[in-house]
Amino acid sequence: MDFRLTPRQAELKAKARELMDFVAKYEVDCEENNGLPREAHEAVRDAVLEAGLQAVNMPAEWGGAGLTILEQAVVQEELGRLTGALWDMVWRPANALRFCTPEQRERYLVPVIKGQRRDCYAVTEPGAGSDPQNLATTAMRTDGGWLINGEKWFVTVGDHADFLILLAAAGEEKAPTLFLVDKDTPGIEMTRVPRFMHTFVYEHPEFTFSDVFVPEDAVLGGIGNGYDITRSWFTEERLMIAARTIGAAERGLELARDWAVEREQFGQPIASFQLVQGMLADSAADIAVHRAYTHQVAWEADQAGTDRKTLHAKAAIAKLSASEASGRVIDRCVQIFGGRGYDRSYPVERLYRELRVDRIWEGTSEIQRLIIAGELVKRGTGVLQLPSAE
Amino acid sequence: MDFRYTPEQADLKRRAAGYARLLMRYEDQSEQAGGPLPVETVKELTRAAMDAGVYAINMPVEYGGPGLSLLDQVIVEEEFGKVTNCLWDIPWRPANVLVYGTPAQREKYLLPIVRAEKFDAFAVTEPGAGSDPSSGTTAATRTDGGWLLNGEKWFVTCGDIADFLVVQADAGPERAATLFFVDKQAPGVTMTRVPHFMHSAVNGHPEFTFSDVFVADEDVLGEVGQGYELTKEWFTDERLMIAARTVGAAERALELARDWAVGREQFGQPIASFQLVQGMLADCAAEIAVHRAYTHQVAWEADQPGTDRKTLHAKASTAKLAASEAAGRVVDRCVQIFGGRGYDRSYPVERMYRELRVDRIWEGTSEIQRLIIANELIKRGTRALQLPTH
Repeated sequence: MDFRLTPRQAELKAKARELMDFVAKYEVDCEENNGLPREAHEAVRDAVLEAGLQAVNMPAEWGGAGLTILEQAVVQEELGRLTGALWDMVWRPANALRFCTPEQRERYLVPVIKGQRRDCYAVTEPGAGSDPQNLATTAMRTDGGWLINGEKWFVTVGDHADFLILLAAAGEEKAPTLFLVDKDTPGIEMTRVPRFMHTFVYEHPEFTFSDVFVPEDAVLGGIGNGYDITRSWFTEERLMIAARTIGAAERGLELARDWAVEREQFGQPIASFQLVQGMLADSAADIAVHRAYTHQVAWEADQAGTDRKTLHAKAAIAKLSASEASGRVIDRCVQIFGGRGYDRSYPVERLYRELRVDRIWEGTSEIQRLIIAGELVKRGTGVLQLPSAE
Repeated sequence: MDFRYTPEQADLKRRAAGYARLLMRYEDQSEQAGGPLPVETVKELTRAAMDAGVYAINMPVEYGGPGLSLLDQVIVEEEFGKVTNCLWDIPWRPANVLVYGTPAQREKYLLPIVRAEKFDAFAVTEPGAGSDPSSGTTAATRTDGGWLLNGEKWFVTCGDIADFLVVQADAGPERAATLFFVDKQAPGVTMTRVPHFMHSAVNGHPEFTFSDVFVADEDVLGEVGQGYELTKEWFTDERLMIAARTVGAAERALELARDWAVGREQFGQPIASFQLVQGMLADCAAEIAVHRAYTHQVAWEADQPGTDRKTLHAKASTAKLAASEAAGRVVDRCVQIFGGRGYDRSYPVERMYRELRVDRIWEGTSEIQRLIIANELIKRGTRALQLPTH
């Protein structure tokens, strides 16, 4: 066993922190204006490219940073400190784009990696979400391609993206299939841009599709492979949520600790009161244990021999418990800040609202519990074992 | 980073697990007897522990122990922790401070312990001192050729079977905290009460009074006034071992609860098919997984020579606090899954529920751990959360 970050990992961490510090300048602007102006997007894009942290999940041969899962977790932990979900400006293209044909890759993936285009993923529907089988969006055969009809919800970055990766039931057999769809295709309408609890730099709009024509070569990864490709994304994505929520919780605690040491009441720093000390200590414990486990699972994900089914459950454990723990941590931090913790110009206030969604998206906490319980019931408690070199 | 056990560690874990399974065969007998096992049985189990190389695991090879690192000890104690009735006390863990004895004290006290010929017990807590050790009233006053001890001690774990006690007392008019070897047969030593605790442990935690007990100069352990210094070191190790044992206990409870939930039918189906039961199983798995990772991390750090000892102290508190609290939640859910059978003393989950309660109290209550962690945060910021680097 060896629990140290390697020099390369420590360097990546420092680089991600430097980028985070640069992007953090835009936090208040994003909060006050519900988004950022074009110049800000461009400045951040340039900074991301300069840091070499563009498309960390994509291979270097296509222009990505080509990081391992563990290295990505190290980076995402630092970026997770940002409020306004400004970490999403450091783009990580959907893994589904790895299934692009060479032509699709040139047209979609490579420009995304370079920061010239932006993808978004349209899966959830009014009647499908945690249960993806209930897909009502259809793609019907027509001359030279497909006609798509349906409605999609929670299309994260849908406002900013210029194309969608859209899941639809293809043909009579209703084969779940992904399509690459340019957003300016006739028949696509962005019907609603809901105001969510957080003030995200991008939106999560709703779309309707009315006889949207896409050509044959818009199919991504083959007809009928839509679920499988989508599912393979979850292990990684959930680990990254675990990593980001830990980074967010850590920043919350740093701020709350400094506040508690500075702020005086009854003639002494509030950090000298045991009830405040208890909140600080419980926050530290929540962060420390979830940091350790998230790194463990990310490391396991990078090992060739790791059983993928058990890994899926481990990623669910990391996501479930880190996001729930971060929710507890930030709640205590708001409490320590008192009235200032309720003020939108303070990061702890924003983190409190923002961390709430991490218990919902990429599978709710309840869905994670079902995945974990499914593993326990099917295969026993082996998921708890540490790996062995034998 | 490398999260794997070495082949040697995997072998050690197997040996410890095999020995723990042997101990489990005596759980019912111990429970029915209110704790103690027949002397002959204890002797057999002692020999078996020696054969498995898991007796006195905290002692160096030069004194006859197996010379395990703290990480190795955590691996063993995790398996020990699965056993109820504190039967893990049989593969004895001598007080760490005994290695600071003079060569003569080592011959007289430590070596016979490692050979299982003698047993030690640590007497620190008093009616008016415990979490606050500085308010002790047990006094040692100078007399010809040694000291006279007067006072009262509580919670002397294994004091019932011990041959000698290591007693902390304030020496001389300066009240310098000092450790003394006291033969239990010495005139003036009285075992006043053996309380019946919530658990039924193989060994007791009796109370003692000391009335003009003579201790020769050669039976002072370390220097006069070195009492705190010597006992403090014990805490980091012991808290890590509690974290390890509670993780092991929680794991066994979950294994049993999972098997019960799969086997037990209600409403025509296994209760494992109900989501409220699945949620309990999943939350248990998540708590065990994250605390296992962190406990191993801190034990690994404790073994590295460059690790800052103050921060390590806070990390061990974090591990102890978080793992013992988590194990308490886990076993509570497991009792719930077992229903009425979980309330039956012949089932291990019932015993573990009672037994795990004390891990939030002894070797520093959860509240004391929180104060240690908060103190680290206030004095030195959040660096205790950082992973080690090269």
